[in-house]
Amino acid sequence: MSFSASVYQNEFLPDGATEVNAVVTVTGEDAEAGPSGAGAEKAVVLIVDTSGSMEVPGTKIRAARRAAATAIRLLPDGTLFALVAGTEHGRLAYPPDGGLVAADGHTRSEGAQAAEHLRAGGGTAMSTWLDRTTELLTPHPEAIRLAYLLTDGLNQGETRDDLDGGIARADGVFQCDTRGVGADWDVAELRHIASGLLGEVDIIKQPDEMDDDFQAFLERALGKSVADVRLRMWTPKGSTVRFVRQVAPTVEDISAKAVPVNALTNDYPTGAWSGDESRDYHVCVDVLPAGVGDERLAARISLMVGDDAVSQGLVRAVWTDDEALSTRINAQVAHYTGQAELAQAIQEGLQARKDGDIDTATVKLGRAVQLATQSGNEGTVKLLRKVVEVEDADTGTVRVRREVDALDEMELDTRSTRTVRVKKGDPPAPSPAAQAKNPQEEGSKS
Amino acid sequence: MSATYPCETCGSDSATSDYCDVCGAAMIDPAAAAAAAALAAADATPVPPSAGSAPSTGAPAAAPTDTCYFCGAPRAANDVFCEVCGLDFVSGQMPFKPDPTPVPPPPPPPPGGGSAPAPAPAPAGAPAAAGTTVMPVAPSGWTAVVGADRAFFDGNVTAGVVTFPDPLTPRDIPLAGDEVSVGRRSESKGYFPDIDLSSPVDDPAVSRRHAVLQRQADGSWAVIDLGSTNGTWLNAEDDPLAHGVVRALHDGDRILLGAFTCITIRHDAPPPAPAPTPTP
Repeated sequence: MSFSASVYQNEFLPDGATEVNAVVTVTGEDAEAGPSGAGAEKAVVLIVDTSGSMEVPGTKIRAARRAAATAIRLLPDGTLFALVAGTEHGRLAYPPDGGLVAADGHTRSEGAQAAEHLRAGGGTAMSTWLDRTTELLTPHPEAIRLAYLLTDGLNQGETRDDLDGGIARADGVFQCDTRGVGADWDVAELRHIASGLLGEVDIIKQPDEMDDDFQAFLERALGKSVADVRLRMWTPKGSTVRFVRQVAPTVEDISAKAVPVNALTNDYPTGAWSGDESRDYHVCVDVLPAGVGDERLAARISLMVGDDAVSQGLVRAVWTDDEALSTRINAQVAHYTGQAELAQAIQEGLQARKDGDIDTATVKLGRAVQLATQSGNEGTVKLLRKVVEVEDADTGTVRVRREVDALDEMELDTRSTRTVRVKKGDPPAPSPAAQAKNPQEEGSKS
Repeated sequence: MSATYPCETCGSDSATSDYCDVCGAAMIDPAAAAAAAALAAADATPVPPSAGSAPSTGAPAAAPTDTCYFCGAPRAANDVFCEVCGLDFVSGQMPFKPDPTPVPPPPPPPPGGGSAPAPAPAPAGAPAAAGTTVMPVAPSGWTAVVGADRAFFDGNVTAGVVTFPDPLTPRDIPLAGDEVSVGRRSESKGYFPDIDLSSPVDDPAVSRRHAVLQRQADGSWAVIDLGSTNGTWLNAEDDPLAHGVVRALHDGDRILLGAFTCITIRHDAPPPAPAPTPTP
């Protein structure tokens, strides 16, 4: 598995300016077998909510049983796994005597049966589910450790501090995707868990969609081939990192995850990578101003696997008095600034709608429609149209619908952070736009 | 720690040699500086002898060395030119400084820019009056027509940043010699590509050394992307050309690069006998 990093930026700053923006595209490539992710050992824990509400209606627990059982039957030989049933305790449903087991014909069949016998009843305290998973996965630091948490409700049985404790103990042990089924769970709560544990939140609108989602998770998990990849960022003395943000495939501010390496260098964990994965990061650094004609390195970004830097990108700052150079905005930076604003506008607009502030909701969601349309984020436009009536997408003129299906609203919220890459050309054109267009001074070395 | 490099800006000892690892200032590598000074001293010679003996035909020599074969500075395997002396590893040419008179100013755009086809500044075979960028070799019967492509421009993300040059009169550039460089002029670096896309209309998304057109043994032409930042496309292909790969060109082929530039290759078969042509 190899990595490459490319930096997109306008390095030219006007005299006196200090803010440097750049988009770094990191691409992993598996020279071997493509997305199979062979090699690294995988450890997978399925966490299924078995609180009483999963019985109401009973289709939820039945679908969860079936989906978990199917997923277990599909595990390849040798994959370490366990099944956790979540109530006010995190109960180990399989294997019966603690610790993960390796999948084989026997354990798959036992594990699937255990899943089919899951019974709903009890409360909800998610930190105990996370703690049980942490306990199971801690003894396997060499494996790629992933969990999948499915719930249908609120974390009612404990305080937010309890939950945060569980997230903190799991941090660095495993990554966790979270899924809410139905409309009675809280998007912000599950997003909080997923963000804390380098995972993603999503909605399962109908119980019968669970099967596919479990299997999609497994496919992603088994495709991972490198664990614990970190973005290491050096910035010069006297500078300030304004933010480090993953911007593709989803927007996720990772600034707060910085782990200091030395006075000028921080590591940002990015979790496990598969062999055909590409992510974009937007970094923004304030540097000390220098004179016209001076060049400074504003950031050195290395991708770390273990103690090895596997790829590197340089973010530069060159001060110029040529306005034609310094006023250009790099297309990638502009695009992802818009995508981040889009996610924020949706979340704020939906919150305003919940609070009954229709004026604010109209402005924010209108802006969201405009941004999503301009950037070609059609998935998000489609979801927005279920919540607002669009009069003019170009100007962002919308009316908030009076009646909105709660599921549609939650779907829009959970998927608000999904971004698109810089717009592709239309089919007739030779679609070169997949490449960044980077107005440049000295081009051929990048 | 192993070697450190003194930073002239902040005075600290940097563990990295490209930029200071404390203040970020661009560092000058002493060896590179010495090589650059040596080169400056030898600058009077218009064409360095070693460059003259560099292979000028056939496939681009991917020199198997890890140093520049002119100045000896270290190079990475995929470098297309030397970072110290500027030697073009692909063409073997030096970016030597031209004689005092720089490139003549671009011809003024046609007044009014109406629909009348303005006479293209075609140096049709005959040496142009200004004595600088003359192609010393007879034309090959192949012509590069430099224009702009609206659909390509619209599909690019630069559409909002760069403006489409409208109207743009296509320029005919006869292909001559063994190689024709494509890029953007840099007077400070003494680099003057044969097909200069910085004037009369500047395409800012073209790399300085973007591509080269290369004469093949059978007299036809091929295009090679020199590792450009934003890529080069051939006709309607979805993917850009791989860097350094030779792609044969045919009559009517379209090379797309930068924000809007389209270079159409025309083969005026049969090879032209230099018959007296009416001057425009």
